[in-house]
Amino acid sequence: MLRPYLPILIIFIVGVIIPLAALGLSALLGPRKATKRKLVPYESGMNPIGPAMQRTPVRFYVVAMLFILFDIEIIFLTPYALYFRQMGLFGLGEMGVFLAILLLGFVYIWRKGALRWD
Amino acid sequence: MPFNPPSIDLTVLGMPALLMAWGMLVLLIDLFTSNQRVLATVSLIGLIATAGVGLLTWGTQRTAFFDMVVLDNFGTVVNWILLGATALSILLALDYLPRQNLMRGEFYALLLFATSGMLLLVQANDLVMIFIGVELLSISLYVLTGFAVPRISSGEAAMKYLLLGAFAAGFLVYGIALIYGFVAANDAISSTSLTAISQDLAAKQAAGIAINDPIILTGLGFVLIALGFKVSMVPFHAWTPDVYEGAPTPITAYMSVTTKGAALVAIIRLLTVAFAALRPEWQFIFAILAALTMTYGNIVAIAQKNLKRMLAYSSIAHAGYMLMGVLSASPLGASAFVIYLVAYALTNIGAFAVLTTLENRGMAALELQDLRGLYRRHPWLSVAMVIFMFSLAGVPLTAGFMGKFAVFQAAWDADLKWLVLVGVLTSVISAFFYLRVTVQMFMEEPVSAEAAERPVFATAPLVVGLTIAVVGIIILGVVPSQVLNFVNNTVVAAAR
Repeated sequence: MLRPYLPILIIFIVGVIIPLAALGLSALLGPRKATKRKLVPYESGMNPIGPAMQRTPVRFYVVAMLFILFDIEIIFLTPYALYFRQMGLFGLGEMGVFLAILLLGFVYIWRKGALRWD
Repeated sequence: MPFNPPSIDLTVLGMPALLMAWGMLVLLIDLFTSNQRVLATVSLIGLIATAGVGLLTWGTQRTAFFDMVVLDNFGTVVNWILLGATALSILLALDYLPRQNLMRGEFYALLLFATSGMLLLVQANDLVMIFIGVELLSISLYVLTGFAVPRISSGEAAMKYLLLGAFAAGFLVYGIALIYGFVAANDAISSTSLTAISQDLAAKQAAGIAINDPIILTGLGFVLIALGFKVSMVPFHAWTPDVYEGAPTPITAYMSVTTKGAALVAIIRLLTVAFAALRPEWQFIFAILAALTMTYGNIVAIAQKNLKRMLAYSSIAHAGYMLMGVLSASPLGASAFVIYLVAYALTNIGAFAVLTTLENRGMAALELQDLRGLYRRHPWLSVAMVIFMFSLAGVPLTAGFMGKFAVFQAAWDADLKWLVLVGVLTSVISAFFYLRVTVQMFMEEPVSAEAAERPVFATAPLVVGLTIAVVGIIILGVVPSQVLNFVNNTVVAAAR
């Protein structure tokens, strides 16, 4: 009765084995030669400057969120621009609603002062 | 290639769409006024207007947007209950927020967005719509849970809810993908709408293909895990006590009722519309889960000293009772679920309203012993609390009794007699910790002189909310026939 579920069990087992094997094999076989350069924290190839535990202003976070908002706007506007003629008035109305909602969010963050840097 | 715009019938989506627009309006008004009363009043008007839309479309049954949403009387009735529960929660929040120093305008807008997500979930007739509804209500609720954020427990609750909720959302999407993979494997049906799934299953059955394939059963299981998480069905309940304890009390009241109601409607539609053919597969498992939910919630609630945690476990148990109506998968079961939801909404929000009146600023948690001697301090409030506790326990002449009676009847008719037995026994267990609350209020002395002097914030909106809840419970408990007939007629008619 449980026979058809065998593939799921196999996937599950394989899913457990692969990461265990990858970690285990590299721990067993990998040579460990710690040099000073290797022990330095990785910072995209740059020499690290200063400690990693620093306070980061969360303003960046707000800007990043707003960026996503307007990024999505562009993603939706681009295909619409391609099919602008075919979609006619219907498309214009739909896009109007979409942009109005986004604009509302824009007005909101503006009034709340999220765009002020300091 | 000519472009054919889809047939747009916005009246079908009238309730969620209006509420969503109204939420945006509240967001805009918040920019120009800092008066919370204005925002709350505008939100209440929006809820009433949305309920009015339901009245306009009453009696019609149709689908729109390629079968993605459905409008029927069953959904409208549940929507009304959800709107009423939201309105009661706003009454709770009105004075609680300034007292706890949580005055931020997004509160009401987020509340309306969450509710509109629930209305969408209730009207969803498509797996993708179910996903959108769940996400809309969840994301608003994550924020609302963390609204009391200087308090550590609130931030912790929001974080837990977010992480586990994201996990559940993953299950939902994976389950939808598996179901779609099975349904659309052989032929040209490329729709995830519930009616299309049921048609496809029927076609496969007619062609002699086994429909209890592991793929679709796994998919259905995953979708039910995600929805069961929102309902706090037992193996997926672990977040409930922490989140309910940490969230601001009006929000706890709100989500303990509305989230469960909306998600259970989605389960009803999923099981009775799309997967009725697989009934032998899911019904027994669901019955076991319902029994576990009732037993676990009621037994663990006994050990709780914190009132919010106690009510959280009791809400898990009540989810189990509502599941009994759901898994009966009959028109009777659906109408029993609606009656239970009305009773539970009035009772639970009422009980949380009493907690709201007692919660002072900076108070970490309301313990069971804080209720001692409440009868001396505020007799009316303790009488109201007694009514709520009796109704939660299911004592006759209260709404809770009618709700339990209805779901037991539905489960009995669905030939799940052992489940009814479990339900009755766990109700008896639950009476212990509900009655303990009344004993504390009436028969014990306050722990200290300071506790005896603690203020009771029974302000006007709260009194209105409490009165509505008490009157509703008594009407539904003493003269229930009008409500029962109304629900029976509408829901049973919608199921045909």
